[in-house]
Amino acid sequence: MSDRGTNRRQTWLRRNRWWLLALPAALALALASAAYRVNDFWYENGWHRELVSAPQGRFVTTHHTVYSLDQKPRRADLRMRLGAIAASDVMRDSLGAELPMPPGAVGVKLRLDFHAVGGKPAPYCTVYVLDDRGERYPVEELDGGTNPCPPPGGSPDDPTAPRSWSRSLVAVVPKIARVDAVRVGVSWPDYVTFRTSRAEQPTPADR
Amino acid sequence: MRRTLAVVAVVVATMAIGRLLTDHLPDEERLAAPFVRNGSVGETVHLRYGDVRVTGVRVATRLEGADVVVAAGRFLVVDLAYRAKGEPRRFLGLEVRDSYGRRYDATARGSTCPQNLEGLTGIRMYAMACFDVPRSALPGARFRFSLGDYGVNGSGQRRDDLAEIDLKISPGEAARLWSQNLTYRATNGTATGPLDKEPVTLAKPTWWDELR
Amino acid sequence: MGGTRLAGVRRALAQRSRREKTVGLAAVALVASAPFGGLDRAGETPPAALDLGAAVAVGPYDVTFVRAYRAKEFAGSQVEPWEAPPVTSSAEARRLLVLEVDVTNDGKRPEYAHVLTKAVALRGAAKTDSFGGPSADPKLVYRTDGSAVSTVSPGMTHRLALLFEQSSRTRSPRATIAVTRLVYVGKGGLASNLDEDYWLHLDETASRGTITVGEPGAQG
Repeated sequence: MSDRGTNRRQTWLRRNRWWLLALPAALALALASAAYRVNDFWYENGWHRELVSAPQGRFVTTHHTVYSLDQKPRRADLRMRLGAIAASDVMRDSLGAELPMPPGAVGVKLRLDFHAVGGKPAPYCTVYVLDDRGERYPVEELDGGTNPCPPPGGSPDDPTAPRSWSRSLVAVVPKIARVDAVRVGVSWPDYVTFRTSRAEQPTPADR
Repeated sequence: MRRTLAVVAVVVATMAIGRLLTDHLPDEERLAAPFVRNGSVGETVHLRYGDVRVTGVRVATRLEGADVVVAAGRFLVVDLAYRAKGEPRRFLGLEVRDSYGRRYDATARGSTCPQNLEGLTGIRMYAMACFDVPRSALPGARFRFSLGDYGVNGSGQRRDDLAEIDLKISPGEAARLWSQNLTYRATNGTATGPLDKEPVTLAKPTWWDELR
Repeated sequence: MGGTRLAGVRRALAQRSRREKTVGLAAVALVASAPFGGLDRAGETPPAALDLGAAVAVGPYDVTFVRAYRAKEFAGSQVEPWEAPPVTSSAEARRLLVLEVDVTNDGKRPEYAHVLTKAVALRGAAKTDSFGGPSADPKLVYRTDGSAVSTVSPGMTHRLALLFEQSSRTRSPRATIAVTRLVYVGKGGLASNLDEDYWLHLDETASRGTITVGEPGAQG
């Protein structure tokens, strides 16, 4: 009786050994097949892929995919650098009127330099400032137009675009923040990081 | 015979375990419940996406925004200071719960008070949220602040932080607040400094009578 | 002669099973009930009578129709008329039929104004342009200040007005209003979609009545 029992147990394990071995693999496959959700719902829904990280002052060229209204992907090139960064005590609205800076906050003035690539101006983009704790600050003031990358007042499809141009932007950050980087993205999830030089940290007198 | 008994025992045990699991594991509603961070007037409540502090509570019969609106009950005005963390945020959840479990949304009448609030990263901002409530809602009322809106059955607030702030209105205080007949100026948006909390007097412009 | 015929029927019946006999009996009973309305379509619950002053349940709301009057415009704010512009009809050849209502939300949550405006209809109301296309649904405003209602707070009575538009030629001293039947769709929703926790307007009249149209000045 006990002999028969052990025999049967052994034969069951032996008989099913390949299926038992396949179980972990099946579990891994099940997880992998659901993993597209991480990509579709998270990775491609935010700035998650750094294309290049460059120090302040160096030009970098990056290639991006932009989608026009017909949803067709199109390639767009961006050649730019973080030219300068400085503290600013004033902020202006789109008509040039001076706006009060919120208490405890300081303006960070950025100069971005661009070159046209293949005669085409830069695509629309998003620029934000990053501090040493990873907090993101949006651009609050633009020197004309609605977007910080194309020539001032121009559009990405402007055939009369200049060969190079500069943009000036202001972000508003708390005085205690230490600005670490400026990030430029064209479409999720790709972005370019420009690291700010320590020497050029904005240091307002009342910090 | 023994084999049959063993099979029966295994089936019964499996069903019992299944029943235990469905009975005692938290259901979907509890798994999806927001993380409620409690606080009270004057305290700063820290959340994943920012922080919020109720700086004061006012009660008004009228609010003067673009138009003047009169409360069906009274306007419970919650003055708050808040700050976005991580990135710029738009806070969609502004609501009041009373001690009967009733929910009140920020009033949308007459361009007076905001229904949602914009927050710049790391910058302290000030706003007022206004709720048209009955008298019975005042004692024990709590203010809720969240990134997501209530949506359908709290769909916008699931699995995320939510601040619930006791407004510390006692029954006696409720009676006092209810009996005053005040008009406050409404700020439909946000400010970078504390708002003016003084009541206003509605004045009829001189041209009005001449026109009539 | 008659006896043999009856005997034939009896013999034929004896050959049938009990089940067949039952079904046959039911069919005969149904045909026999036809002259008394047995084959008529099953009727809906007849609409209840509706009048000024009586409370009617409209989904989550208890609604009392206070009074009705016609006006070129709704005066709007009684508080600061110099600031609130009056609500006027969308076309010159139209008049407003103002139906004053006291609305109580006895639930636990704010309810949408459109739950009410979609449920109350005025016979002969003119259509106006809205987001969903032309609609005869009324506007809902507060009587004291003319501000538009989007949601209605629970726990108290709101003094509101439903603003319908009518041709300016309508001068009848009476108006017929009808209220749609609503059902609450709870957890799980309907089989046709996944929406839940809302009030559904049925294609059925819950109450109907003809009310007196008074003068704008008279307080209800």
